[in-house]
This record gives sequence, structure tokens and C-alpha cells, in this order.
Amino acid sequence: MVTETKELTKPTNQEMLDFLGTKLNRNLSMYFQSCQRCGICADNCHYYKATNDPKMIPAYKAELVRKLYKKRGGGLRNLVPWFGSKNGKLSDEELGVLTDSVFGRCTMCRRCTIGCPMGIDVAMIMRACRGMLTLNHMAPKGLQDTVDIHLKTGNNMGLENEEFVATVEWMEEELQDDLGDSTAKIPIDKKGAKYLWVLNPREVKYFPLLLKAQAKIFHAAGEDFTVSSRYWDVTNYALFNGDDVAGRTISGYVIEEADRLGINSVLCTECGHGFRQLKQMAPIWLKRNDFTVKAFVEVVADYIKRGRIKLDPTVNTERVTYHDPCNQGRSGSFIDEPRYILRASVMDYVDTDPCGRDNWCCGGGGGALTMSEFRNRRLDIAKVKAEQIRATGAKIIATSCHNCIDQLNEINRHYELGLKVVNTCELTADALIMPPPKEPELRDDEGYMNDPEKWDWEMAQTIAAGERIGLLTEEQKRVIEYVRKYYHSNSDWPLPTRIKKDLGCSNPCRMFQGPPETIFKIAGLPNPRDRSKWGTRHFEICP
Amino acid sequence: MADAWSYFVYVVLPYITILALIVGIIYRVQTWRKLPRAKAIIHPMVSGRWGMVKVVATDILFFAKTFKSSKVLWAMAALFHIGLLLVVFGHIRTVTEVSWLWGLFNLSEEGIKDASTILGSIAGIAMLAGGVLLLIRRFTPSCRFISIFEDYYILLILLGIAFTGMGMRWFSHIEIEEIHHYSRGVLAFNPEHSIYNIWFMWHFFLAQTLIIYFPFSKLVHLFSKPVTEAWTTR
Repeated sequence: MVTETKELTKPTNQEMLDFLGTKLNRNLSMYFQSCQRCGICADNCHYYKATNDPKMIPAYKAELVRKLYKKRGGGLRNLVPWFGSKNGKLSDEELGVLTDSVFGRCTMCRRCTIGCPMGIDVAMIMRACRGMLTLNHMAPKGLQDTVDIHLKTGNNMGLENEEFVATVEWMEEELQDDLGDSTAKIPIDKKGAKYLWVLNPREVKYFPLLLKAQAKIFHAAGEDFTVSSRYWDVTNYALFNGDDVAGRTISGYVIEEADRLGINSVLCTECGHGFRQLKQMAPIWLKRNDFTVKAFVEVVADYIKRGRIKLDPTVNTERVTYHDPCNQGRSGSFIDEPRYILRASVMDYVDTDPCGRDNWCCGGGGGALTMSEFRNRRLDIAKVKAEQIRATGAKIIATSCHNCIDQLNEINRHYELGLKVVNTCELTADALIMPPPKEPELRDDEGYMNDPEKWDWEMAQTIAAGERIGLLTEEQKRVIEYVRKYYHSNSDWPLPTRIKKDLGCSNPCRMFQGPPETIFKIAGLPNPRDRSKWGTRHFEICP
Repeated sequence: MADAWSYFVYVVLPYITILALIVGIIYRVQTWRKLPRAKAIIHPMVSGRWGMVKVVATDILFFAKTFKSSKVLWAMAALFHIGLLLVVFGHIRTVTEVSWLWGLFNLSEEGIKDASTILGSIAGIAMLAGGVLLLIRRFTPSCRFISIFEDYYILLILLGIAFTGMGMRWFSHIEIEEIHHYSRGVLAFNPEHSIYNIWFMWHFFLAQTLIIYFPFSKLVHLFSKPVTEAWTTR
């Protein structure tokens, strides 16, 4: 990778405070004035609960940011200049403390907001301050890199699109082998599908079997979905570093891709923040609300409710519990859906205490997993979560968020819980009772054959009759034979000039009274316009 | 000197207070209205608008969230706020005699005064006790760390007002008619500094400083709590 030395322009203090000014809105203004500093948030914060360090109390962190706003001037300070703090200066020391507080001491899980008698959204306050520090290039390197890579390559791990397509195709083959059903597909770039399925690069790079598990569920439900070969990444770490411009660009990738494919419904994989940024932030960033965003658990719960998939819970006998991802549970309102899915997929399901809206954050939210400098603290504060899980006596913990999974795995190792950490889709896919595979259609809507293997001369005669061509002549048969042979070795459709040259016959188009597609149709080759059917296939040339 | 001070408190300050309160509220509302709205959904409520109203109303009436988090704090806050509420309603009597209300309970002139003494004392003690407990709580280590000057300042002023108010009732003698006479004078722009009562003067003075400070302090949670909570449970 080429390392470029970028000239970092540091904004002046006034520019930073002005930036904070642009972040100020009615909510923030009222939050700042409503806080009574009663300390109820302390008991609701896993950072404070685990460490008993008063610097971890959300009200204290919010007060740090409020002090910045007081430095902005305005308000009473126009009238009495000495009111509030000295002047609009921010020392480096102060900025260091801020970075440590807003990035390292808050996962933006919003549990304190649930308990707060004033309903103060500390995450919103933190995000405003994170934005300011990002402007000053003080955001933790790991977090900033993730955003930069996303902007540069279209996904947050810098995967090539070819690599992605190859993974999807590989998983499709695996799925077909598993089920023994060639109709199980993961369509790529299928225009006008019902859902655009967007993925987390973590799945694609490290856990492709999760793709298979989800595709298996979609296949069993007969869902009409597709993945994009260009922008397929659901994540958006700009939600965590407070950079609205980057946030807008990144969420725009997915939404514009949906536009290109003529789809207005985005189906998110099991990713907490990815779902929330598309569902709640993208309409604000992009100023449009003509698309819908569905979470994986929402869609699967609907399948079960409508009987589109059947599950056999006896497959999963061990005790399972569920961890609510903050962005999908508390901030996304999907509390009952995952429980409904798990109760249908496993024999022994227990809830943690507390659960649902009041569930503890795992400690990996707010981009915490990308910030390696706070790793030790992240594991320390996970004590709360570890004890909570241990109390349930569960052997498996399921969750619906990739950040949570990584963090739960680390908790598992650090606190020796002896757990298995899984995505909900894995348990559901295991419990799936597959419907008997459907006999694939012989021909598609346009009359092309789906599988060249099933072709024979009788079939060719039938198709030819449909194209108003009478009994096939010897010359026509020679052309057909040639076309099939060509496709067999090149997996491509030959040009009419090529046929003419190689066979030394008359113009094949005139011979078949139509475009070259007619020949391919009669020859039993797949539809050239249907990209999903392209590729080499093994078939007998002329049975 | 003492005369000039009481002249200031009784005659000049009330109008400054009223003006400051009105200007302060208008200023606050205007600066707030100029800000853009935040459209982000914070916690989507599945139960819709009616569910939201129910949640917010329960919390305002019963401090449900505080109860869930800490029973001790809930008891203190409830004591303090209920006392304060009763006291504030009791002060209606200083401006006007709501005789139709007393009529409902069939209270005589003497009865009103007795009821006022008993209820007022209970409310005052509740408020004082709650306030003192809250102040003590401010000094517990974690709470002290997050408290800022304003937190102590407002509690102390409120306690001062409650204390001088109770002192007026217990340690000195002041007739409601005197206060009636004075308050009507203020409303008619013809105030007299006729009440020579040290408890009343300090009570009145502290209350006015609090009212002037009100729009700029955390006391706006009186109005902002339903709004911020509604945003949260939207």
C-alpha cells in the first residue's frame, strides 16, 4: 500500500468551536440546560458500574462538552463577557482529556438515556464532540482509518469487488451442494428484486459461512433478493466519528446502488449500527425517505409468523441466551423479534437480566472495537456483561450484530465463560426444515432453456416451432451443433460472422429468420441477457 | 441603610424581577427557536403516540424512572417536589383569597387559617427535609464529582427561601392581610414598603433572585422535561 504523507491542516480553536455551533440543535440545547447532574446515569453506565470511577459518569462526560459550548460565547456572554469560562481557548491537554472521554469512555449505547429522568441523549452530545475532534484529526487512528478506507474503496475492509463476487458465488455453490438443489441462488445485480441485501465486510472476509446461512433462510422462504457487485457494505463508521459529510457519502453508496437496481427496500444483514444508520440517519443525511430499510431479524420473524419457513428447534438443544445490540434493540426497537426467532429455533432459551431495552451494552459499540488504544479498558468494563451472561448459565449466546460478536468473543476468552458466540442466523439456519427442492423450470420467461444439459433434438424442434421455424434442415442442425460446441468450450455465445466463417455456410441469421438470439434459444443455451446464468457449464454437446 | 434596602426589595426589585422573567423567557425561547430541529429518532416507541404520552405522564406524576433506578433518591426527590408544589399553590393566597375553593370544604375564616398553618407547615417541612437530604446527597463522592456550582447554588437558594418562609410562620407574626395589601399595591403599581419583618424581607428577596435566574438555570426542567422526554420516547 502506498503511504502518502498528507499535510494535516489543524483547524483553529475558533473553527472548532464554530463547528460545534453547527452541531447545536434544539435537542442539544435543551439537554444541556435540563441536566440536573442527579447521577442516575451513573448506575446505568457500564463504564461506571465496572470501574466506579466518577470520570465515567455520563453526566460528567456531557458536562465536559457543555463547557465547550459555554466557551463558544453567545448567550449571556454577549451581555456579561466574564460570564462562563475565560476565553475561547482549547488547550492540547484539554483536547486530550476530551478525546479520552468521548471516544474511550462511551460506547454510545444510550442506556443512560433510557434511565434518565430528563431523557437526555448523551450519545448525541458525544457525537457532536467526536465530530469536533475528528475535524482536529484527533479521532483514534483505527476508527478514522476505517472511515477513510470505506470512502476510498467502498467498503470498510478494502475488499476488491471481484473478491466479493467470488465469495458470493462460492457460497452459492456451497449452498447448492449442501441442499442438492440448483435453484438455491444468491443473485448478483438482479434488477427489480424485492430486497437489496447489504452485507458486513467482516462476514465476507472472515465468516463467509454466515452468507450461506442467511441465503439458506432466504431460499427456504422463497425470497426475491439480490446483492450488488459494487456497493454492498452496510457499515458506516462515520456514525461513530461524528463526521456527517463522510456519513452522508457512505450511506449514499448503498441507497444509490438500490436506485440503480430499481429496488426501494434495503435488507440489512445482522449488523446493529449498519441498520440504524440506514434506517434512521440516511433519510436525514440524504434528505429523502422514499426507501425502506429492513433488519434481518425483522424479516425472519415475519417469515416464521407467516409460515414461510418451518423450524425444528430440537436441533439446538443447548441453552441459548440473546444479547441485544444497542443499535438494534434500544435504538431500533427490535426487542421481541429476535426472541421470537430464537424461541422457535432452539429448545432452551433464557433471557439475561436485565434484557431488552435495559440490556447492558457489550462494550464494543460506538466503534470501540476499532480503537486499539482503549482495548484494556474495553475488556475491564465488559465485567458487567460477563457477569450478566454467566448468571444465565447459557452455553450459547446469540446476537445480531458483528461488533457485539467480536466483543463477546473477547469477553468469552478474557473472563473464561466457555461460551459459543453465534449470529442468530446460524441457529435459525441449522433448525431450518427445507421444503422439497422444486424441479427447476425448463425454460425461462423469454423461452430460453435454463440448463443446456436438458436439451435434445426433440426439444430443439419444439423451440423452433415456437419461433415459427418448420422442420430443422441439416444445415440448421449443423449451425446448432456448432453453437453448442462453441459455448461448451468458450462459455460464450458466438457471433453470426464467426459461425459463417467457421462453417462456410450462408448467413445464419437469414437461415433462422431472426436475430442470433433465436439460434441460441433453439440451441438450448441460457439467456445471454440474464447475467446470473453466465458461466461455464458441463453438458453433453449433442445427445 | 436598612430603609434603603427594604425600599429596594419591596418597591424596585419586584418590577425588575417581572421584567427580567418575561425578557428572559422570551430570550430563551427565541434563541432556542432559531436552532434547527434534530430529526434523528432516539428510541422508537412501538406503541405510538399514545404510548409515549403514557410513559411521559407516568414519569412526570410518579418519577417512575427515578424509582426504577434508586429508591432513596426517589424518596428525596418526591418529598422535595411535592412539598414545593404544595407551597407554590399555597402562595396563591398571598395575592387573592380563593373563597370559592374554601367554600367547597365549608371552611370558616378561622378554619382557613388553621388549614393553611397545618398544610403549609407540612409542605414546608417536606420541602426543607427533601432539600436538605438532596444537598447531603450532593456531597456523596460520586455525586460531588459531577456537581457544578449551579447545583449547590440552586439548592441553597431554595432551602433559604423555604427556611425564611417557615421562619415567618414560626418565629414571627405576620398577618395575611398585610401581605394582601402589599401584593395588591405591587399589582397596582403603587407599592408600599410597609412590612417591617426581617423574615419576610429575606424570603421575598431570595425568591426574586431565583425568579430572575430561572430562565437561565437548570430549573427550566419544569418546562423542558416533558419535551426532552417526549423526544426520547418518540
